Amino acid sequence: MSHVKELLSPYIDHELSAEQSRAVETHITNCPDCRRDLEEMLSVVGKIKELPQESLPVGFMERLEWKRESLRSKYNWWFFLPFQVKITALAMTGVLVTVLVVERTKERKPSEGVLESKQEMPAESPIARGNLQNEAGRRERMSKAVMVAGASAPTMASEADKDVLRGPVEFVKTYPFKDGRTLSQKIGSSQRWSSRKLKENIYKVTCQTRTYAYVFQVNLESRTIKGLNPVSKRILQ
Amino acid sequence: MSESVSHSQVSETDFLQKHAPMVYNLALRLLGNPTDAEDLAQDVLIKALKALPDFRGEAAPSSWLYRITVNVWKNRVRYEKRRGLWKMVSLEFFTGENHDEEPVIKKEEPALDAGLEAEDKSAAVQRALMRLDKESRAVVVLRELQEKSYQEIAQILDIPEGTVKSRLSRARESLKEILKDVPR
Repeated sequence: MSHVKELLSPYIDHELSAEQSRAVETHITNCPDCRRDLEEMLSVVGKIKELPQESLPVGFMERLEWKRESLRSKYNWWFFLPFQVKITALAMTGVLVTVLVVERTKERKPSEGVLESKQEMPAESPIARGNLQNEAGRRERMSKAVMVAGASAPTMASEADKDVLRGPVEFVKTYPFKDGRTLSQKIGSSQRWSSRKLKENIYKVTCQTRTYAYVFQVNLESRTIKGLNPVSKRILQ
Repeated sequence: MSESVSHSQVSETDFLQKHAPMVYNLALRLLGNPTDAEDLAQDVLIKALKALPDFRGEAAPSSWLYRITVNVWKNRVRYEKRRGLWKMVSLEFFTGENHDEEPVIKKEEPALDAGLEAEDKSAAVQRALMRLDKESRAVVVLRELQEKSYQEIAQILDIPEGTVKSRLSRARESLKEILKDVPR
């Protein structure tokens, strides 16, 4: 009999016919290669099965209830509107969006757009150029960004790092309930993050938590974040 | 006791207490981090509670929930891929040197046993799972951790049994290579 490598996986799971199982058993008795393959596969299966069953995170049920409640209040009023009102509202929104898009397209001249983006995207960041005045301003602005993200002000890293700022950043989700209670959940923290100015008041931030790197844009004027997943977006709310 | 339920017989609280841990664990192994797992598990449970009055009990509630979980997870992966809404990469693959660039996945991935003595072994196994493609990961998680038969996995994932068999076999071969230095 040829090697039985492709049968080892279903053999482990008892998904072979009795005849096939017997054939595999006979073969592995006489074939050290296949026997070793089987042992290795059993070892892999064992390692995965040893992954622990985790219990629910503390506050899971409360947060689930909050989510259900917010979804209900978000959509319920719409469901109860009469059909004619829904149609009218949708049509008016469509018209409004079209008008806005057309107006904006008229206003913008293509050459201006190109020039603007060139002027507002400096090749180097203020810190990389070593401009102390800009550096101070930048640090102040980034402190605001950190405040927005719920953490303390950062300090400058060593000269070698230049563009890297250091400081604890905490990602905290908050869940406001209608009755005034709030729940907070820490979803990660980071000792290291860096930023790059894209436009006035808009920074691209790369933030590393213990396990992940988040890349997002912070608008310091409107205090909003762009480019995060829906979970992390709640940081700013 | 029969696993079938009707909305009138079992309250939402009982339903949640019984099934939420299973849904959370499945989500955790599919996604690899607790925050996203909680978010996914909550979406699944909200969906399930909504559909519970129409659930006829033709399949076991657990299988029904597995199916919802896998579908919500797949939709989310597709959505995020399409929209590019968020970019999250494991730090193991993050160069961290040039912050003007997007994070880059290194071609040469580090050995899983690097620094293992200081690290939780289960984290290494979880990372190995995350290296599998999502279809294979779903099959492995359902088989090894939820102990589903090939037939049940085929039903949950809506794929032929033969595909389950081949994906599982391939995935185990890959994991054998990835986990060779991780002791049991």
